[in-house]
Amino acid sequence: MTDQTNEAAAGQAGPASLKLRLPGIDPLLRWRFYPGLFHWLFYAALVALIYFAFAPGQRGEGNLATEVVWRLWWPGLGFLLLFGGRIWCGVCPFGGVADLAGRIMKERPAPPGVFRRLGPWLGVASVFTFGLAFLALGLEGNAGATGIILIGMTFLAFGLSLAFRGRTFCRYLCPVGLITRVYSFFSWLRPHGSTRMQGAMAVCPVGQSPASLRQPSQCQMCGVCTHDPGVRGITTTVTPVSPRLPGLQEFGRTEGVLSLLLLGLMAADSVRMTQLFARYQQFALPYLGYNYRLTVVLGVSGLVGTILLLQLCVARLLGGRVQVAGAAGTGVASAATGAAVAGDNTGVKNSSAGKALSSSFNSMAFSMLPLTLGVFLSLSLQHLWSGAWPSLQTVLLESRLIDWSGHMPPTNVYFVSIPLKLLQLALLGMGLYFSLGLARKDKRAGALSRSAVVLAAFSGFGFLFLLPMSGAC
Amino acid sequence: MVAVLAMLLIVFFIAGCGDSTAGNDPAFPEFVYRSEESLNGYRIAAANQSILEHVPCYCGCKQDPEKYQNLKDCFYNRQTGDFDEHAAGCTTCLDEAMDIGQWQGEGLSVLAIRERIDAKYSERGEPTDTPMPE
Repeated sequence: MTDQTNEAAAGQAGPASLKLRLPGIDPLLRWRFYPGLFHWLFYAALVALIYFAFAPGQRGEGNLATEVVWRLWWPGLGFLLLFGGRIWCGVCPFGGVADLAGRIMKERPAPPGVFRRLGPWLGVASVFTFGLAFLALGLEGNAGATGIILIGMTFLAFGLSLAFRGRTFCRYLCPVGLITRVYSFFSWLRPHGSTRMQGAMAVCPVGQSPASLRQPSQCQMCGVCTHDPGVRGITTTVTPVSPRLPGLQEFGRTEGVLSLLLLGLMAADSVRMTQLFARYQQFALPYLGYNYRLTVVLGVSGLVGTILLLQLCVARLLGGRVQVAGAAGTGVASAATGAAVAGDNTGVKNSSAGKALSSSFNSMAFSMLPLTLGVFLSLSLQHLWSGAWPSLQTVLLESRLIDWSGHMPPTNVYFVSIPLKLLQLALLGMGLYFSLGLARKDKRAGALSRSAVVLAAFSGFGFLFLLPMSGAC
Repeated sequence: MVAVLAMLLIVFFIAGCGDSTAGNDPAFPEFVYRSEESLNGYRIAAANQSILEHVPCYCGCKQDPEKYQNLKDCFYNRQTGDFDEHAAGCTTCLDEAMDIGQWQGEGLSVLAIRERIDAKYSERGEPTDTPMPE
């Protein structure tokens, strides 16, 4: 059975027919204290983190806020979304703040059209800004910037929800939400809508109709529809993604651009952890007024731009071939063929070329997505491997649960750990396996070229991960 | 076009927050460049070695007294005189260096800097056995 029929069957048959392979998730979504209890817990954590971001005289080696946010939560998020999908979005304090604003201000207009029109590009700009700030400001060691970001996101989420209906911030602007949205295509936890949920679209804070729920990336698992009377709400299944790779049909242009943007940011983050980055700095600093941040910003932008441009070139090459296939009656150019009858040949050619390019670009980006996720998980593992224990020690020290017993930071800045390297290569290998699967799954022209690009990207990341890497930048 | 302009604005806004006041850097080894804090810390250490000699380090490096006797030893290897990796991976050493850079810029004496460092970092850990400046 194809993906679409699987999803359709799940939707039509309703919750009773679904086999829930992990008991606990659906009851959790229907639990009367979900997500409220988690929201209050995370509100408390958020307030504490903001306090510690600006608190002087901390006992630990690092700042508690940066240690918790960037060395524990952020790398942990990658693994959480692999197994738990967007469940973080359900319990996230920013989403909670948005829901809270909705309870305070009941009558609000829908978000203005500009959000819908520019939504995808707002999302791309948001993720790009977040990635650039992460790398250029060195958020892992920058407590002040971390605190400002936490405060800014809280106010944005609250203010936008006071002004407009639904989770406007989460839906259009939250970089974390957008990143989880893209990666959750490969989550094991998959939400399903049911046909009894016709009323759910009215209550869904991100305006999704469960009947046409784009699995599983749109649902934020906020629990609103599962608690609304008369609405049965979503159900979930937990299934390893391998038996049924998601379909390209669910993958929009926004997801395509975001996927490649993330690939560029991951490449920059990977390079940053190797000695290649130092060589680049040694070369670039004298030309850029010894401004470290400027060298990072230009380096990251250049890398991201190059990757997007390369993918666009490949897509353009493949797009032409797709058009030829379409003219033969098997591709995306069928719309163009129909329009050609109407007589506007130039416009049709442009429109056809544009559609073919867009389709080819998306197909390319979709094929790269599992590899990008593999890189994200490998980097997350690197951070957890080198930073989780010192970060936990900082939390315990600051909580006065343990006492100071001296400290000797590692003198080996760039280190090689064979077990870590093996695990990272295994994660990259899994990404390669699924990426190649997707490259071949799309039966149109260019499967071989897509596979070649995937292999080239894998080789590049494999090379980077085999170098000695710094665990904490 | 709007998207490209927005991206350019973002790029220049973030880059504009950077520190471009530093002059020519000495020939630093690769580990110095792994973060902005590290680069700035080593820049300050290189320019203020005589102050760092009189300031203790509170990161816990006291555990190895033969190697570390003051903050300068965290940035420069005591035996060889070359740059040492230790401070590049140590928040406390870098924080102390940044404070020294700031206070030295404000015109404080070595003794005043030492007293401020002692007051600010005494909770972080045991200091190295560094004599008070005269």
